[in-house]
Amino acid sequence: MKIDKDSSRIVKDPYNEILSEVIEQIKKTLDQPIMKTFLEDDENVELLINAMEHPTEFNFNKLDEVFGQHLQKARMMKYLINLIRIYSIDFDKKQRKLNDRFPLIVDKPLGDEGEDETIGSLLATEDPDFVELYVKRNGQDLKEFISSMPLYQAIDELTEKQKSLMKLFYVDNLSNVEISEIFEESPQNISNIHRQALKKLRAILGLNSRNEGK
Amino acid sequence: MPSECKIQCCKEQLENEEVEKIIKELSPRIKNSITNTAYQEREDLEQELAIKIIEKIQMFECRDSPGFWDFVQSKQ
Repeated sequence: MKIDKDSSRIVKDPYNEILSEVIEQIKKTLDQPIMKTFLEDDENVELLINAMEHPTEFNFNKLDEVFGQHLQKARMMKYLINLIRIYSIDFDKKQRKLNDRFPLIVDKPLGDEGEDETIGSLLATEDPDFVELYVKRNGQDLKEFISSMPLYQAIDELTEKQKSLMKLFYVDNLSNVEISEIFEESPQNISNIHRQALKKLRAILGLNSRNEGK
Repeated sequence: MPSECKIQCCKEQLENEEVEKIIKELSPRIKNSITNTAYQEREDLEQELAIKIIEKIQMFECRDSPGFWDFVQSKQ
């Protein structure tokens, strides 16, 4: 009888010690955000109390499992919230780039300085009348656009072909290839005529060809 | 064989419900973040976000996380 009493006390004491130790440990974690959110749910509090009052393996495991799920969900939510924020920014960047490269609106202005030229007007130049239009506009004189007196006089020295080529190049902003289509010549030839015209102008104006860039 | 199939279908449906719940929970954040883009792109972005979330949730399911006792012990 006596021995039994003693042994039961021996058994009981370490058990209580372990339990109070566990409670101490749990107390230390109470200020952790994850533990706070976990204990906000009344069901979870009940699970914890249950595990403390009836420390069976089942109750312990149940608490363990529910907490694991809670932690995993919290992590996932944090990750997803970040994902939503960053992905939306990236998505916007991607769309902007795409819209810039492949615009769907044809009357978007080409330049930002209030130019009348739009993407739509560029498309219109694909019209079969394109060549005719420029040949017609070719009637305008290059000299109408010149404000410098020496240059105005120098242009008179150019041949008719050189003049109209320079006009297409500098006034109408056409490329070598487009001009070559109008003249029905090779782009290389257009380039040569253009170069010769510039050389002539430089010679008349007394400019050294080395000053080209200045 | 048919019973097995039924169980699988049930499981899938449960997961879908779960995913739907998560997306619903996150929807205020989604609504907020779609204002990052132009008006006509918003619907697209909302859909893309939902797809991304579903993808990532599946990725998360394979991960392990510590249980209650591991957590308490690690914070001693």
